[in-house]
Amino acid sequence: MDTRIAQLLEHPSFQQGIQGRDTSLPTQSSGFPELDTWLPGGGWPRGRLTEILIDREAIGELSLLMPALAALSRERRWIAWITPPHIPYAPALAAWGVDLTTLLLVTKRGMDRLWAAEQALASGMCGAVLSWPEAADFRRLRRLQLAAERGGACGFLFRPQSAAAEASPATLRLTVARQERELIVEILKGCRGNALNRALRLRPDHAVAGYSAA
Amino acid sequence: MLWLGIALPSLPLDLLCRGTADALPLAVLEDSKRIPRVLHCNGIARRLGVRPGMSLNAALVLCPGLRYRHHDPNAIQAAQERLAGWAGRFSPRVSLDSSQGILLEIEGSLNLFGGLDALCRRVAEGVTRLGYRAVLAVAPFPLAASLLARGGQAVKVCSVDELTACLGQLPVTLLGLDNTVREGLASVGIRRLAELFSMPRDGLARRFGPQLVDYLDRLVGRQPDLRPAFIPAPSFRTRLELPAPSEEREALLFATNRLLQELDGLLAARASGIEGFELVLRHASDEPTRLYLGLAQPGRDPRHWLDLLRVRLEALTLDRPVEAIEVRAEHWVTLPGTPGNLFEVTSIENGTRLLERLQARLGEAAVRGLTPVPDHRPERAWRWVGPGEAGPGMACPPRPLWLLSDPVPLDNWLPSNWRLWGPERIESGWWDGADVSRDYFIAEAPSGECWWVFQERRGAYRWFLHGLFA
Repeated sequence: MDTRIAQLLEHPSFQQGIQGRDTSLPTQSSGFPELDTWLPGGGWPRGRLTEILIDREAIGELSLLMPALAALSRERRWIAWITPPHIPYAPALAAWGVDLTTLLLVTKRGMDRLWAAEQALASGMCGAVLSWPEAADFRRLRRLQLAAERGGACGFLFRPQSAAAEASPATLRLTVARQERELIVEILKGCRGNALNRALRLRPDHAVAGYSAA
Repeated sequence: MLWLGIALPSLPLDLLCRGTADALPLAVLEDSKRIPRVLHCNGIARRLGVRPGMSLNAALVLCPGLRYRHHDPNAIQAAQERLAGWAGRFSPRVSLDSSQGILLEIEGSLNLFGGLDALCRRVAEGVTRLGYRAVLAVAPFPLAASLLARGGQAVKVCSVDELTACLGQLPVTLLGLDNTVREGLASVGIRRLAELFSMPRDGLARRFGPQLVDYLDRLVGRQPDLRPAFIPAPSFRTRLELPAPSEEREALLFATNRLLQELDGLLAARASGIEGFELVLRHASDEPTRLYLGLAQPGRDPRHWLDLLRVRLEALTLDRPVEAIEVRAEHWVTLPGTPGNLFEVTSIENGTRLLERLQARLGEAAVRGLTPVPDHRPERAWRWVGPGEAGPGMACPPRPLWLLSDPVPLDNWLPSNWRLWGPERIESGWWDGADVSRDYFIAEAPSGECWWVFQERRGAYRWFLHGLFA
């Protein structure tokens, strides 16, 4: 290939559509069969970064990950939470099936979030690393991506939806929005070509299942 | 029996040079006739014109940037003992040699280390990592090994016949003999050991005393030569002076690594590990800076310690240059077996290294785990624990994934188009004074988010937000 074209394709603004199912990437099933069919390899990519872009918090973005986190926790590796916006509630995590002996909460006022995320991702001792970075440029995210590749963990980054316009080295990027009882998931990057920018509607287990109206 | 002699020809200078990777002109001084004179100097100083025997003032004129220290016999002795302790990882029988060297009995260790060449290579690499220049020689007898090493002959002699041939090359001045005997030998024209071997024994005994004959007998094994074994103390407390005061992190790590390698050897010799060590950075004045590095599990891995130390030093700002560093490791713990390989470990039981790295930089309180607690009151149904220490909880109705640290009062009641699901009545805690009586609801917004709210069942019957269903 012409070297100039090759250099152009290296530029972060370009995405290369994945042709066909990429079965070489190890994955962790998300627990949602409809989502799994859209994700290359059939689940959340291991050893890579996944960006989850949300416009406001607590719309169900965590419950999207819970089945996978429960399965990963049974592999006896750490599930690391780096500076979450609130404290995860232990009884709720236990109810989702997460083994709490694998929970690692790293949080401190004013700490370097990206450093901690990089350590956790690169260590090889984490099954999943969830982080809420404040401001991250392409270069620092690329370091996280490389750390994830070294350590083999599923890296999840929660970022505001405004970050969708920026280039990112993450393997998988998706936006999550809520519409009544449904989660609207749009994959911006990392799925098969024909699934790009289509909205997937998921119905995770709803909190009020089993309740009667007051 | 097979003996390995390690001679350190430039130990006083090495003690000064090992603390830095930089190319600095260095010299060791002694006081002779009350004037400090250069005793040894390194290659860089020599190229600038400094020579042993020169006075300090003259040396400074030729080389203004010269770094120097006075000769310290105590430090030399201590370094020799530490090296002997470190060498215990290669042999159960280490002895101090009379002059700046050590002896190891290695016949029993050959199988473990894969042969004589492999063992000697490992010893040589290890001594280099400690920062010393050494000559290694192997012989069937301790005195012969020591002499060959001191004579600069890095040979491996396994049979007695080869031994006399190799020893023959050495000058007679190398033997540790009295002045009278030495002068006597010089006057007769005996310069090399080969000539001495060819002399008749009773003639030598008559002329130079039985001491010389006894020495030669011990040299070739005709007489036994017992060497007392050196047993190091089970603690480590060592100081290394930096040739030039420095605040650079990499320079400090370089110097600390020398001491950590010594500690590693000592621990390996006793199949022990440490749970932590203290690093003291001494400055020119005032208080030293003390750092304690604790390990989650007792272990023995200088690369890991250096790694943790690097992380810790990144978080530390040094405002004064460091002149000397000390490493102290007092409490040693017997390790059951060899530590596992870092790169194969992925499970939590062995994987404390990530925790140690995070805690080294952020502090222990920043790295925690959670456990559910069997209590009906939601804010008490969980608590902080150390990572991995979670216990069982109890079954309960659906709970939100985020719990707010304190319930937030809802001043205006929720808009009417929100649906409320519930109630779940929680009344509990009368026994410890923090009793609650609340009705919990799941409030569902039209857009679909769910909040966990409650209404107090006493007092002002206020509404609060307690959690978010994420």
